[in-house]
This record gives sequence, structure tokens and C-alpha cells, in this order.
Amino acid sequence: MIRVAAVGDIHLGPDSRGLLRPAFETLHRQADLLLLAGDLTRHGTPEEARVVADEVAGLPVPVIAVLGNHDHHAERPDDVTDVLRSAGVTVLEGEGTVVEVDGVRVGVAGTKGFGGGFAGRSGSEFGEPEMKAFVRHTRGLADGLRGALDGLAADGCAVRIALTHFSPVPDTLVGEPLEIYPFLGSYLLAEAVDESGADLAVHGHAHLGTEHGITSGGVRVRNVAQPVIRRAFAVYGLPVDGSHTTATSAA
Amino acid sequence: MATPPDDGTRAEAGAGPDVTGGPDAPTGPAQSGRSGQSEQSAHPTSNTEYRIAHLGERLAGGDLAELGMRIESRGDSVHITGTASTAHDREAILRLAAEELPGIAVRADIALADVTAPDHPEDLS
Repeated sequence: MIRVAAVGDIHLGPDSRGLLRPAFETLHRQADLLLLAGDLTRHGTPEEARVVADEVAGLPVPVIAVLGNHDHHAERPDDVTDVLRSAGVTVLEGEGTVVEVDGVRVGVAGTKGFGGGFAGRSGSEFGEPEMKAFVRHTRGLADGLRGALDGLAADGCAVRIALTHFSPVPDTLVGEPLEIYPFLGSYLLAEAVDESGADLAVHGHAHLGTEHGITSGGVRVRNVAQPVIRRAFAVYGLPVDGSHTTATSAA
Repeated sequence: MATPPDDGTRAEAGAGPDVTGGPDAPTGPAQSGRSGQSEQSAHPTSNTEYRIAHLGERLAGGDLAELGMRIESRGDSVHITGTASTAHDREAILRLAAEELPGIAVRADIALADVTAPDHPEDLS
């Protein structure tokens, strides 16, 4: 069993320094790795990223993150990424990383993701340049996620996890106003997950949403936005026999 | 230090007369935006629907960068629900609500984020 701890939307700033550290220091007793599902800061400044870095620095488990929309607000995502990496955090965007847990290769593929909506109720690459750019951004990030998951499979990972900030499914948005679903996620992310296969998809972003969901291809989805899980992090136990890996294209 | 969970709070904002919302009310000096927590709306209006929208913009654009609150009209009052990171943030949200919605009763159910470790995992086998 691989024990995956995850949380998103912690929105740390200088006034919340030290808030999560006591809970994170218990991670070695209950998890093998920690996933951070974006919106780690409030405005995406390096100063706020330093608070996040200090919160997770030196933890006894690997820490893997994606950025969220808040982490882009100051338009310095590279600086935020550098600060986090300086504390040992693996920050993913369209790429994967492998963690060895008791000899088992656990792969995590990550992207921020973006909006656009869900099947039958989504935006299209049509019309104004801004609209086309909106949907193309999501499509590009979803393609990055697909490529990263494929790479982890080729790399022999027995367990694969898709880590995003935006949601791949509407299930985990229940509780949010229906009108804003297109700003909370995209089916393109779920399509990538289902085509490449994964054991679990983890996201944040939807504070008023629901923890549990599933893709149409059968991959379980968890919304780990902190206001949703109501803890410092959630922990999910994943079997290592690969029996829960789903790949629609290979079925 | 861990912040204990909280069931929320209720506040009455603007018990006095509406001094900024009426069409004939003084608007004060022109405002260039809504990014500061002490700023009043740039375009005061008596329309509660628009004032709710302005509050949402101020919560998002200011120091709080708060996009996770649900703000809805309920009869003659406004209901705010969501989870704040700290008690300080919750107070700031209520203060902004009082500034943006003078004369309107604001009922808030704003929980504080629980930063304690979980006591059990979810087994996905």
C-alpha cells in the first residue's frame, strides 16, 4: 500500500507562517509522499512562496507540487517555482517524477491545468483570439499531462498519480455554483488521465466542492482543497498490484 | 500553532442608515480601484446584486486574494459562506462586507480552516 498525503489551496502568506508545520511533521507516521495541489500562496509572490518553502522544508517524505492560479497572480511563476525547489520541493508542469517507496516505483504527473468546462458544456477554440487562447491553454496543459503519464508508464511505474490544480471532472465540484464550473476545470484533463491511465487523480481549486469523484474511464478523483478536506492534508492508500490502473486506450 | 475548527460567526453589518448606497448619497473622493481593504466601492449603488458583485471583486483583488466565499442575497440580507485561513482573514472579510454593504444585514457562516492532521487514511483498494 502506498500512502499518499495531499492538500491544495493552502494560500499561505506571511501571517500564516507555521500554521501547517505541526501537522506536516506527523507525515512520516502516516504517508510516503506529500502532494501539493496548487494555490500554495495568495498572490504568487516569492515572499509568499518562501513561507510555503519553510513550511515543507526538511520533511521526511518527498514533496511534489503543481502551481495554481493564485501562484500565477503576480506573474512570477518561475520565481515561485525556484523558491519551492530551493526547499527540495519537486514542482511539476507537464512533466512527471518518480518516487521509490519500499522498492515500488510511484510516478506523479503534474500540471496546473485550466478551465473550459466539461463534456457537452465546454468552450471551444472558436471566435475571438482570447477565447481560442483560453481553450488552447487548457488543451496544451492537458497534452502535457498525457505525455507525462505516458512517460511514467514507460518508466515502469507500478502506481501513477495525476496531480492538477484545476479539476478534471464535475463530480468534485458539487457544492460550487453550476455557473462557474467552466472556470473550475476541464474534461480535457480527465480525457488525458483516462487515455494514459492512472490510479488516482488529485486536484484542488474548488473550495466549495466535494472530495470524491471519478472519471468516466474509472479513475478515482479527489478534491483536496483544504476547505473541502477540512484537515491539514488527506491521506489515500493505494494498492501496488496495478489492478486499479485504468487505461481506456489500452482496454 | 493549530487553529481549532470553528462553526462560523454571524454579524450584522451596517446597522445604521445607508450612507453610501442611495443614489443621492455622497460618494466621497473618487476611487481608482478596489484593491485596498479600506477602500469603498468605486461605484456605490443601491442595487444589492451589484454591491454583492463589488464585494466579491474587492475580496479577490485586495490583500486577502479571497475567491472562495459564496456571497448570496437571502431576502433582505446577504449570506456569506466559506472557509477562511485565519481568524484575522475572517474579520477582514466581515469588515469589507460591512463597508461594501452598509444598511444590509450580513449573515456570515465563515468557518476557519482546520490545520490538524487527519486521524485515518482513505483506503482506495
